[in-house]
Amino acid sequence: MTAEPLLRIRGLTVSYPAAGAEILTSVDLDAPAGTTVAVLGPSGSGKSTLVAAITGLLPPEARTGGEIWFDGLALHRMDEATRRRLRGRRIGTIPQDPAVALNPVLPIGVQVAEALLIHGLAGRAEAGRRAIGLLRSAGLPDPESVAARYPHELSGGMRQRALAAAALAAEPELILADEPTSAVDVVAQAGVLDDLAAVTTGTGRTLILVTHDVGLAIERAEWGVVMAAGRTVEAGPIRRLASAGEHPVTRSLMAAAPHLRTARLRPGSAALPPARAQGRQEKRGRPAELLRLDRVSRIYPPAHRADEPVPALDGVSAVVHRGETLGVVGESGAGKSTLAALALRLTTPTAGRVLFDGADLAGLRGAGMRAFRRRAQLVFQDPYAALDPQMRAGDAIAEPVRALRLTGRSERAARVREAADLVHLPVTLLRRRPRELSGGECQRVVLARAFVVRPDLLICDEPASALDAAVQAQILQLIVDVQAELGLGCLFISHDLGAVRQVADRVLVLRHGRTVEEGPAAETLEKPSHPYTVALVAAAPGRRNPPPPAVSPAATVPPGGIHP
Amino acid sequence: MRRPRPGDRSGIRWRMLRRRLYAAVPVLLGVVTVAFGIVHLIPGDPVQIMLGTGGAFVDPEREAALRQELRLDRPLPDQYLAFLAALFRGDLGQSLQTGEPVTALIAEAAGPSLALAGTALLLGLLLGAGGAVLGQLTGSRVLRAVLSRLPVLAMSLPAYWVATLLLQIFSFHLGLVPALGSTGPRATILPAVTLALPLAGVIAHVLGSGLRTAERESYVLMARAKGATRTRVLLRHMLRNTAVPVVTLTGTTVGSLLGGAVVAETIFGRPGLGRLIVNALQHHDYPVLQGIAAFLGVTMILISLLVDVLYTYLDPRVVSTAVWR
Repeated sequence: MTAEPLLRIRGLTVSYPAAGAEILTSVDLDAPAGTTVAVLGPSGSGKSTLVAAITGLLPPEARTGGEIWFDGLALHRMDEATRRRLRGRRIGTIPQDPAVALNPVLPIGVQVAEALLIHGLAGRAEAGRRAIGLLRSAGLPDPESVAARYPHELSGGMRQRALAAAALAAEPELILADEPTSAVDVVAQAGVLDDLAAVTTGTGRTLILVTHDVGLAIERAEWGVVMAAGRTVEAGPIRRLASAGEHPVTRSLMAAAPHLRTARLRPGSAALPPARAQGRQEKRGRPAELLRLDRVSRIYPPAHRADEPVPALDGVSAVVHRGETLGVVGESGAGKSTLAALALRLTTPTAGRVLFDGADLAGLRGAGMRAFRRRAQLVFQDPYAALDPQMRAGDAIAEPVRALRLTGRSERAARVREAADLVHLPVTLLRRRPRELSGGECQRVVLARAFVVRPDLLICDEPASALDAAVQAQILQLIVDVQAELGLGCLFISHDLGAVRQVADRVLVLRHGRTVEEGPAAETLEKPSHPYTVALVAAAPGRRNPPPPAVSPAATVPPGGIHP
Repeated sequence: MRRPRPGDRSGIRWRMLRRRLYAAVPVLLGVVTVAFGIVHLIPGDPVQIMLGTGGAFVDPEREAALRQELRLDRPLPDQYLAFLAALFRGDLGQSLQTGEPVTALIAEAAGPSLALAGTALLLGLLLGAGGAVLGQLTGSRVLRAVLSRLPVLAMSLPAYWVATLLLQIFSFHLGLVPALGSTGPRATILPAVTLALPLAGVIAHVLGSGLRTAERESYVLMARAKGATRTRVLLRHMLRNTAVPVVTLTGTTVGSLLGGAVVAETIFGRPGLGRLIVNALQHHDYPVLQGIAAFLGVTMILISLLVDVLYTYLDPRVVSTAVWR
């Protein structure tokens, strides 16, 4: 870094005096022109605050200190009007969650063209035409039609691309991407990042990539900056950070990165005495069949009456045995969530049958239905959304016991404590409400709520995707442990192939509602035979990563990672 | 069949409107049934109550005539069907006091009421929305604080107090507008202001708190990250997203403005539905009450239809969920 960097931050602080909170205590960052810099750190380390400080969009009550230099301009001394003219024109921002970052009541094309209009770069008609071109180069098929649509009519991946198109409309030199892909599936993620890479490399543009996904950072960035508790703790070439990071936070981040090469987690490694876990294993023998989906199809009505109805699932078969985990992978729109809804009888198949313990779910009524509701439990992606914000953790865990009238009041408390114990949730946290808990703690509450009724089948829909890598690893371990302890059958839905690799025994690959491939997890993900699975594995971040130092020694893995 | 162009929503909108119209039929029936029930819900014998005060002597002949006229001598289902049939022909019966057709009475009173309600609504929207937008845009902390507290004050002012105060200042003291009557638009100003103030307060309150919440939304930050000015962000992005609850609220308020403007109409000596209701209540004129109840019910149904249609213009998501639900 010899030349003057495009962005230079020195001793940046951000605090909220009214709340007595210091979010950033000391941040230094250099972003050389034409490079990609990854800002890494666990959640709560201040990454998003850093982005807001660079754009000047912190809440009005925030107080800032330190220096931010952008291309020789002192942003920290600049008045709002001048700064506003930089935003969108020279500094572009791609925000985190595409579901909420687009205005729901304006057509996509208008939102993409907006920066051009604001900065007087084009007239109304010209901006509209340019927006269609921008959408096309962001990789959206049929951009004319997309431009006329509203955000809710697009998939998550399409929205993320539209946002990128909107942020890049005025061709800014500095692009701030705040977790640009944490809400989309691997294939869309790879596409969005490829598009970003295409506009940055060779054009002299600079990309600041904020992420908690280490695999992605290693793959996409040249430089890395590690943040912890509001300060930058380490910076340097990303590969050096990955292989020889010195700060403990760097090392733990790198070690926790999920990896396609990591083997399936073994139960008992943390939770249970090994003897107990083994006892289970021996007793198991030939596992009994728990859930069977027999050539199920589910067709939803089309969005427009004149369109053909689209099958969300089309003749898919799957089996889950007791004590076994079936991983379901695929892009968004592949039918993963529909599969879960069918297995839980939240919806019924338009063709085919779903058998639970030998009984057809379609025939369940009354008591049989209630028994099934106890035996099959669901865990969602976003633990905060899955919990009633007004309800204390203990009450949330007790709720299914109460709803299903399983026990009396006194035993209920014991059941709650037992479930909390199972997920390593300290009893002191049971009196707290969701907002007083961390994401990992909340997801433990959700898991305890599922386990408290002693189910036979656990259905996890992206249970760890919203969490930090380190917390994610703990949650996955927990699921594996409890599964072994209770002998659960588990349907594990995720777009994160690394996570699936860690928990699944077998894998089902879905695409456009059809089965692409099915087989043992290790074989399917390491030596995929179907071209689509090959592409899916290739799109997964971490494929090209150097192996995490703590898990496997570099010598055993060929450079360039696993190849089919 | 033509595949709808994305963005072309009028077809879906008409389909939705048709469905809402079908759904309005049972509601309509419910409303007129309740109106019919009014006479039968009076404790005691309605004819006795209508004719006299307390246990005073009642002419048996008049009583029989009234009983026959109101069809109270026939079985209940007969009465109900006859009421519906008359209603279908637009016949709401005659006033007991004057013998005039109820429909004529309502038509006469509805004119001034509509004028008053319309003016009050317009004023309330202008004042309320203007205040909320100004409070959001102003750089002055003092003005922002004042404008965020004013709505609650406006909502809590009692109508009779505001009306009297306005009369004192503008009619008696300054002589700018007539104090009484319904002649001309000038006489509508003061009662309209009286009704508009609490309405403006409610609108400013709901819109203001909606805008303050929207300020922190992701899409607002994204718009600002594109370089949009505060004014542009507010007018182009926040206002339409915040408008839905305001439209709902305004819709429900219009109904109460039509029938509930009793205080304003009494103080300013204006004819109108409110006055008609009070008068009919005082004289136990049940056919009139029945008619007004049916009329206001139908009006409310029409307003909520209008509100539903407005939603589809404000929020494109309304259309797509409405079609498949």
